[in-house]
Amino acid sequence: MRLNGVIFDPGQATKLGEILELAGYKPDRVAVLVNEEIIQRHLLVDTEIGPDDVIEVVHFMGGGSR
Amino acid sequence: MTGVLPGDELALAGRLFGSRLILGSGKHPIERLTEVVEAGGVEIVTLALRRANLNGPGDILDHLPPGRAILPNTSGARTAKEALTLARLARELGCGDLIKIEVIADSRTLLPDNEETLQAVALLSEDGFAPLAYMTPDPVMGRKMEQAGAAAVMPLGAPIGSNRGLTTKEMVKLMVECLQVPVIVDAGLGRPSQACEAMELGVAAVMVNTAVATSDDPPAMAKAFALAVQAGRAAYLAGLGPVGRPQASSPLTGFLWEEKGSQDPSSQEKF
Repeated sequence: MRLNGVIFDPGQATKLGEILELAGYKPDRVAVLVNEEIIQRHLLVDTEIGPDDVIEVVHFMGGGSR
Repeated sequence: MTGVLPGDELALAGRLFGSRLILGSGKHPIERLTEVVEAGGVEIVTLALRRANLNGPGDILDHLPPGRAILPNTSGARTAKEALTLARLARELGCGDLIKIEVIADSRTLLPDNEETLQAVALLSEDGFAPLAYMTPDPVMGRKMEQAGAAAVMPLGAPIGSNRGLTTKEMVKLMVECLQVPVIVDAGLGRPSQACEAMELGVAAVMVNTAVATSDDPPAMAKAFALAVQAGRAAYLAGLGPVGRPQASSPLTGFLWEEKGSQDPSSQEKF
């Protein structure tokens, strides 16, 4: 699978919440796209991820305008 | 320090705010953000969404004082559809419905694309958001934004990050006169006096980022902007006097050294 543009090996983990934590993210502070679909917050931890999925993790950072 | 006049809160999509100074959080070291926000009495802070970076400076949400409203923006979007995706991601982060739509397709001028922004306002409004439309000032387009569901319009004072001031003053003034929704000047203001001037025109609020973040003392500059915004708001509410020909503000009679023949009869009494 790809996570933020980089190939990521999740080991035995298949659920998005586990994968995020393995990668070092706090699931409650990020929003996630899987294959360009937004994962709703209440589904985020338990969503099953496959080996070909593309995950994008975003969070807030400083910004006024571009 | 809110300095709000009684009953004069800023109303945005049904929410009331005591401060009319909105702060953009870009370019600030995040560990200093709390101090800047508190010094300016800021209640609304804009944030951007980006790919999470584990090697970055940390989580900006840990550096916002409690009780402040987060206004996510859609910076990075080049089309209405991309703006909708960013807005929905922000909503998954628990920010509520307020969102600043920012659609920029011109990397040279960084001017907003009003046409795509209008489409984004319609899309986001239908999706339950209260969109604030960052736009190149235009009262006709502003009215279309309003009709499409914008909760406020955010005309720029000058190109983003330029600190050039209220170069669009006449258009902003027309927008204030023509629109029902709040008009918020966003981008380009470089000095507190320019923020004050915008508020004197009757805009509902101003947003600054670069002017504060790039000053030598950002907390002190945030406070200076807050004071300027309060002064401008108070002046607007008081009503500015008319502009016209020279007119003395002291009586033109009763001078100690009157010229002969020019005396007003009422000023001839002995004293």
